[in-house]
Amino acid sequence: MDLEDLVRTKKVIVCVGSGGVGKTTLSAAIALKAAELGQTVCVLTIDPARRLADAMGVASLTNVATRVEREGFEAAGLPVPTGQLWALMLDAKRTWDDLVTSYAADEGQAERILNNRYYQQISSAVAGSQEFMAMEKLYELHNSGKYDLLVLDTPPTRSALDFLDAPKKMMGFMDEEVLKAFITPGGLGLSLFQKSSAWMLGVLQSLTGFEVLNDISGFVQSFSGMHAGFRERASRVAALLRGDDSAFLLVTSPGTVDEAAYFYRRLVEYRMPVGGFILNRVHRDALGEAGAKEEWDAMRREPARILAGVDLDVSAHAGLAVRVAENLERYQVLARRDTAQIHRLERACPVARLRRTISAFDVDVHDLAALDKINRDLFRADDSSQETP
Amino acid sequence: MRQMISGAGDAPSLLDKRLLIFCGKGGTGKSTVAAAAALAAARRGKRVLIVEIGDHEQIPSIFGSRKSAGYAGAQVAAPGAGAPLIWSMCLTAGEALQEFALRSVKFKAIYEAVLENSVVRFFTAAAPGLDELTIMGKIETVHREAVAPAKNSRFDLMIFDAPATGQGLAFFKVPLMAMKMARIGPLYAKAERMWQLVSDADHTAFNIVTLPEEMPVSEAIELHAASAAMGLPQGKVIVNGVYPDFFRGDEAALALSRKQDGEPADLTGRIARAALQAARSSVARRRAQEESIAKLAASLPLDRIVLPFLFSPRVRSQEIATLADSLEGF
Repeated sequence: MDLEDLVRTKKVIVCVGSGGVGKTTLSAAIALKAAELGQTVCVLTIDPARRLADAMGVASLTNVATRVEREGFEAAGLPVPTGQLWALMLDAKRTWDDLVTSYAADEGQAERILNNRYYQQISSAVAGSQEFMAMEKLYELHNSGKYDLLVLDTPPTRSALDFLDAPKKMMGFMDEEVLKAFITPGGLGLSLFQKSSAWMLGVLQSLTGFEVLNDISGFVQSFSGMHAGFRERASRVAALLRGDDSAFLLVTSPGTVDEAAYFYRRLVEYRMPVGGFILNRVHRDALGEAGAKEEWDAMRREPARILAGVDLDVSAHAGLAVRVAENLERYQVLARRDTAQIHRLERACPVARLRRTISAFDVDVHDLAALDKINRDLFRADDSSQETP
Repeated sequence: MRQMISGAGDAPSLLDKRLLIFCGKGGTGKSTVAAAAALAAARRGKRVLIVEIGDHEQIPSIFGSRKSAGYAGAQVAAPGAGAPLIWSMCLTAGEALQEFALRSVKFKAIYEAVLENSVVRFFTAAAPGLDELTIMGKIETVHREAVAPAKNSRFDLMIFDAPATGQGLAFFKVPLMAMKMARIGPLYAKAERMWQLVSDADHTAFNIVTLPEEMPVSEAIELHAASAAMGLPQGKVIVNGVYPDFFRGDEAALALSRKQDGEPADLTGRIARAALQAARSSVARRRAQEESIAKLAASLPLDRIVLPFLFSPRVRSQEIATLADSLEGF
């Protein structure tokens, strides 16, 4: 299945990769393509740097989807797509609060939870919280039935795959059985295990000064009855991601292929549907043609021939030819490095199918026109050399 | 423009500080810059300890050392020519918490009974900022014992390769947060010492590493504003990966002015065109970088140090030595 097929047939595309590889940009480019194909598409980002907003020409993004209007496309010199392009920037805390409000039995319960310090810590400060809420938002938008396709740009967390563990981990924080172990110190029938836990928590509490026990106890009491709803929802999110409607794309630059291979293994381990790799910022080998390297060696010895080859007047620019030659040599170092890294990735993940390479661009990508230019690389029709058989 | 790119460099050297923090967006080359700064300091006769954190230790391999320095730390480079050895250590929250708990609980058996307990592990995962707090605690301890003493210190300078932007600032916020929440007791005292260390303008500098690209520059500007507002003493901004000013103005204009007609018929023509395209790319990148650096210069009132883009397959000792040359005036 090639990338355009994925865009046409899937309902959820998740872009995964290390920080700084261009996930946000490629997510936006894929969404733009979907809109051009006539789909109603929404791209979700958790990126606090407003990159997506900038790239889409939208003044600001919030927790509610914003549509890129026709003026935006016109300003970028692009035809107005037949579909609709929407974008959203996830506010994890806000999504948590909305979820609590909608699952609470009454306003009082919602209020108690929202004001609880343990809840406030979980919903904003705990690692994995953002990822969990990204999944939650994804599910909410999917269920709304409003969109043909959702493109999720995942956060650049250190492990980048935290979101896979996040639902399980966050459910752990709210597990009533575990939480009960915290709040029944000294109760009847406690095992030695529970007693030592309670004692150690006391020690930790006195060391840290955090009023952990009171906060957790209050949280458990106010959360009572909501846990089942949360758990069920988390398992439905997992089912959506593992299903036929979803695909994960691994985004990497040549410098980070080891991490990409690691992410790939993790996704397979989690039984997530891997769509393939996108290699971003690749320097192409300018001397890939048969005989080109030998010819280049000859030209390099007589730099004037280089300029003559493009009908430039040699005599007026004696130094230019030498520098053009040196400059290409430098670029070839980068091209060889990138080729070696791509082979390294191929060896590490021999069965991965879809593989696309995007050229290293000379300018920053920060508008719709630049996204469209990327798509010419990303969705180019003749790319047989890039696909693994 | 050249003046703008080189930035001012008259301030006293930051290499005489006792703690240099390097922070910035992911992918900007913080670890490489930290290593190069360590080498520049070692060349001045400083005994340097680099501290990095997390599961992917990088510093030893940057210096070409095959061994891991780990939590205990090890020598990773011998710059030679009378320069002192460079050490590094790689801290993880798990090991730091274990050490902290062992120091506090004193008895290993109790520690094991307790910290191996899943409920307690659950608590430690839930406690906000506990990872950052224990690592900061370890850094403060190492600094106080091995770097700060006026007499018989093991090191003159600690270089902290901090985690990427968002997470990096969280590190320095944690002592403040802990001071607020604890108010009194042993934790308060410890957190206060951490904060005193990172906010000490005489001995500490918080440096920002960025790339000459639009988004990294925007983030660098935000990072400066946020870290300065917190009270972290601002050092310099290091612009990494700056393309050489390889083509003179008129040459650049000429290279760019050439029209691209159809596919050249012969191999020589195709190669010549590829070479010209590479030249054009080089000129365009340099120009885009100059714009980003100009934006940085206009918005960030810090001295800038520019590091050259490395046209090499890998960052190794040789490349670090090149970057250290550019950091001599740091």
